[in-house]
Amino acid sequence: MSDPTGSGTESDADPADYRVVAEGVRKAFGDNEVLKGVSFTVEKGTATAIIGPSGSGKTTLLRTLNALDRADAGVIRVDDVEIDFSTPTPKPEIRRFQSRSGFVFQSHNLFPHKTVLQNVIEGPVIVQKRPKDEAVAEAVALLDQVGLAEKQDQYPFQLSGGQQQRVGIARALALKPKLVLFDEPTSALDPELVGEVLSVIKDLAVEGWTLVIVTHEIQFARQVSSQVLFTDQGVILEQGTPAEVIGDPKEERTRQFLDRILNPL
Amino acid sequence: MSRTLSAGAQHCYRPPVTSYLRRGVVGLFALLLVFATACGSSEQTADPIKSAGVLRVGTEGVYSPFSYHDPATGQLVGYDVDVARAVGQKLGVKVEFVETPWDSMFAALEADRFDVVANQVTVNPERQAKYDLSQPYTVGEGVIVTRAGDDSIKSLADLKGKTAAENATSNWSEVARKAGANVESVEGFTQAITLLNQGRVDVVINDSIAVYAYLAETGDKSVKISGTVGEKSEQAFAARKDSGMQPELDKALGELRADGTLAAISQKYLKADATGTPPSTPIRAAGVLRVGTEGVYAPFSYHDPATGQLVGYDVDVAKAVGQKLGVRVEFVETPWDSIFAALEANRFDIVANEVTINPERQAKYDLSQPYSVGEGVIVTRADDDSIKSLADLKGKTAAENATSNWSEVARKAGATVESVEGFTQAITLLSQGRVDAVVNDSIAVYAYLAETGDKAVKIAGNVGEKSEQGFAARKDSGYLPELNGALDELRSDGTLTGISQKYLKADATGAPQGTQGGPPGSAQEPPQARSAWQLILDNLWPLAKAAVTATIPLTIISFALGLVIALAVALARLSPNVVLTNVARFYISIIRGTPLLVQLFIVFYALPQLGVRIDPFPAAVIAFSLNVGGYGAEIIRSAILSIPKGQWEAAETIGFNYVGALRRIILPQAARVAVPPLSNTLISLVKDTSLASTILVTELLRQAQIVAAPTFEFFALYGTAAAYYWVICLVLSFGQGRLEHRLERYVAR
Repeated sequence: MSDPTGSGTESDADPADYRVVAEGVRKAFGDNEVLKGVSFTVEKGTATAIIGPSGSGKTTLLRTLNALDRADAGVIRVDDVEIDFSTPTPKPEIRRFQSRSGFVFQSHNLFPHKTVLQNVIEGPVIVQKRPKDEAVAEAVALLDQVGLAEKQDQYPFQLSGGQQQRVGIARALALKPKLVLFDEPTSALDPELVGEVLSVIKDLAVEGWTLVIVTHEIQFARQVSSQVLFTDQGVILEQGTPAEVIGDPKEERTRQFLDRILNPL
Repeated sequence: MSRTLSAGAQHCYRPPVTSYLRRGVVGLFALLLVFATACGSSEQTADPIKSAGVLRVGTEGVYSPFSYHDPATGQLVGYDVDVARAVGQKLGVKVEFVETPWDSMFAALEADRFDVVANQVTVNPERQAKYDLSQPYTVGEGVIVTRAGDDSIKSLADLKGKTAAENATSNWSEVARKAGANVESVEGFTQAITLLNQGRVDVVINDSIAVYAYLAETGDKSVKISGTVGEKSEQAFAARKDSGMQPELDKALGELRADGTLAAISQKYLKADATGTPPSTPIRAAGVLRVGTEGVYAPFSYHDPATGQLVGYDVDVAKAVGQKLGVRVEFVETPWDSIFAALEANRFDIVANEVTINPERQAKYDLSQPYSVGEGVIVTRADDDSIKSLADLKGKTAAENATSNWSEVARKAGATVESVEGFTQAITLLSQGRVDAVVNDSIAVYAYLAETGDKAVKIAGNVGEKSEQGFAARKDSGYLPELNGALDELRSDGTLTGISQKYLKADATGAPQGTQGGPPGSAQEPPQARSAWQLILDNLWPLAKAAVTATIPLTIISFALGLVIALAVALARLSPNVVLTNVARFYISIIRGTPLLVQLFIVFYALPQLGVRIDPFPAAVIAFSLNVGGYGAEIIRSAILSIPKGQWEAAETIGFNYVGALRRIILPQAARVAVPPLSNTLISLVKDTSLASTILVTELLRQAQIVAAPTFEFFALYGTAAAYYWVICLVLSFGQGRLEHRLERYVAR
């Protein structure tokens, strides 16, 4: 797979270098204010890891980037689509916004009534109306890339959790998104299956896909990402390179969190 | 019960004016009732009603003005109700009314839910065969009813090519069909009139009493009586066969007639005297002698196998009497069991069927002088010399008709009595060595020996009892002088002996030698009418056709449309739009909160009043699909809700809009959840289509009702219908299994 989110064409200083620009993103569920005005950027062709304690708003933040959760306020631009969530936005525009990113769920959410191949080509063929032959060829290549070429005619229930998650990744990639969002992609997996999924994601990062990953795998975040966001109580408490945030956290909360994760006992 | 009876050429079936709101469901209820009462022969007492102290009366309660609830007081009233009350008063017993739909009236009667039916039960041969019918208390004639503005129909001849609405089981249906009309089957008179008013049919033929009562009551000016069909009908109480209640009923009715009570009740409800006047005219004045006879009792009354003509000793004697009196003789063939009931019901004037004269009969009937005299004889196998008299019967086995007095004779002589259907069967058992003796009337035995040349049996002795047979007429008929005079003449001119020699190969007229007659009916094999099995066999195809042309298409079309409605309603119910949600809620609430039958009636009977007239089949489809829509909506809604939210989200992330997600991702999965409960709905629908029988759709149950009503074979026909429903549901269950299996292929097991 060549790099569809590639970054090589633009100069570093240009705002167009950012694939994601989020400004003042707010989101509340009822009285519970989950995001209290979050701002950050993601550069093209980079991987960003979002870490933080449970309930800190990291998953919600990720979901606002795909409008699975609509932000109450704030402006988010993904690639060429910018939406100001404080004003009503027509559905087609939301859908255009959504189409710029792919989403990998914690519980993968494969379509159980479709085979592996059908899961992957559903978007390209039915939504994007691309020729089926072409979509199938690409899907097979994607499945090959995630190591599941021989499973293409099986149903999800016949696969292991790790295999299912890799299909989920292939399904997201098949839509050729400019941005791929991962919501704790290994949290629901047995420990021995975590590695196969992480290595696939790592490959994507190396290939130059633009990724945003919510994860508890600190070591993985350190290896794969060029930017780490630490969220706490609805704000980004600390952000920077892995070396900065994970290697030498400035904030006490960050240190406590990392300490709990890295030394659970 | 199922003995042949051919209504003589001169008599047609009498129409049941009574039929009213027939309901499909009731048919199956009737089946259960019949089932529940495998057998119920009541023991006989002299005055069963008086000794019971109560008369339980089955009546519809919804058949104005004969049996209905007074809107002002709520009391059960009406012509039939008041007559039944008056009868109870005459008999000094309490009268209890049991309100029962017409469809299950006779089944309930047989199930001993009540003692008599007082519901304008029209006297006809079938009913006479199956039930004890009292003397008639109303007499009417068939009339032709058309719309007031329609002058095209004035007589039966004008019916050709027209459409008539008739109760399928009534004789009027036959009358209309024979006149060349297309007959639309309806539940009852009110429905027929409704269809006439709505312009769905051109004509209704019914009983004048019902029609006049309807016109008087409703003041309906939109229909009129445009002619008569020249047929009379009589209505009477019906009791279970051999209930023994008939004498009391007749006596009470006779008194009510005599003291003017009956006429007063008639005036009150029918605005006319419809009670009929008791026939008291002598035979000559009438110009016709109506003779009741079995027609299946060789050699006394039977059909010549060669010519098909009704002939026999009694038949010829009756003809000769008619000749002597200078009147036409009409024969009414009636089974022995109901012959006296029919006589009392004035179906004919006299019985000519080897009626043995005994004190009981003399008390109840006018009996003529005897025209045949016989004696009881003992028949044994030709090679058996052990039996020569009654004394030798001790310890032997005899085959006798259970209801005959020969049975009594043999039992008293110490024989074990094997009950048989008739003389032929008795002789067969004797020939086969299964019994040792048969005691019967010498006339029957001689006739049998002469006719068959059977050498295997012989007359071994006589029992020393004579029997004399004469004509029977209703008490105080005034016929006896004429009958006896004619018989005297026939006897003296040798005609009687001639006829006896012809049929009996002996002079059994009672001149010099004596013989003795057994109870008629004991000496003959009751020919089976169509047996229940034959009836089922004959109706397998008509019922299957009704299932294939009505039940199944009705089910499929209604279910398909119902599913579409259900999906739409389910989505409306799930929608964030409050108005849509509430409309859907209301719809579901209405459908689930009202009976399906009422929904059907609203679509078919109520909408025309708003100017929307829908044909039966489409009306049924509309009602059923709306119903399926209501129930299916909740099933589909819960199936959609059972799909995890993540599936919606995953669909959204790959770019699906609402409809696309629903169609491609959600519904295929929801289908798996919804199939079992929707299959339930479908299977219920198959059976619910039987309700369409109430709105003129000739589906499976209705077809069964149509066949069952005149034959009274409820068990056989409703049973067959039930079997068909079951088979359809079985096939559907199989299909459900297959579909579930298919939909589960992506689920871990």
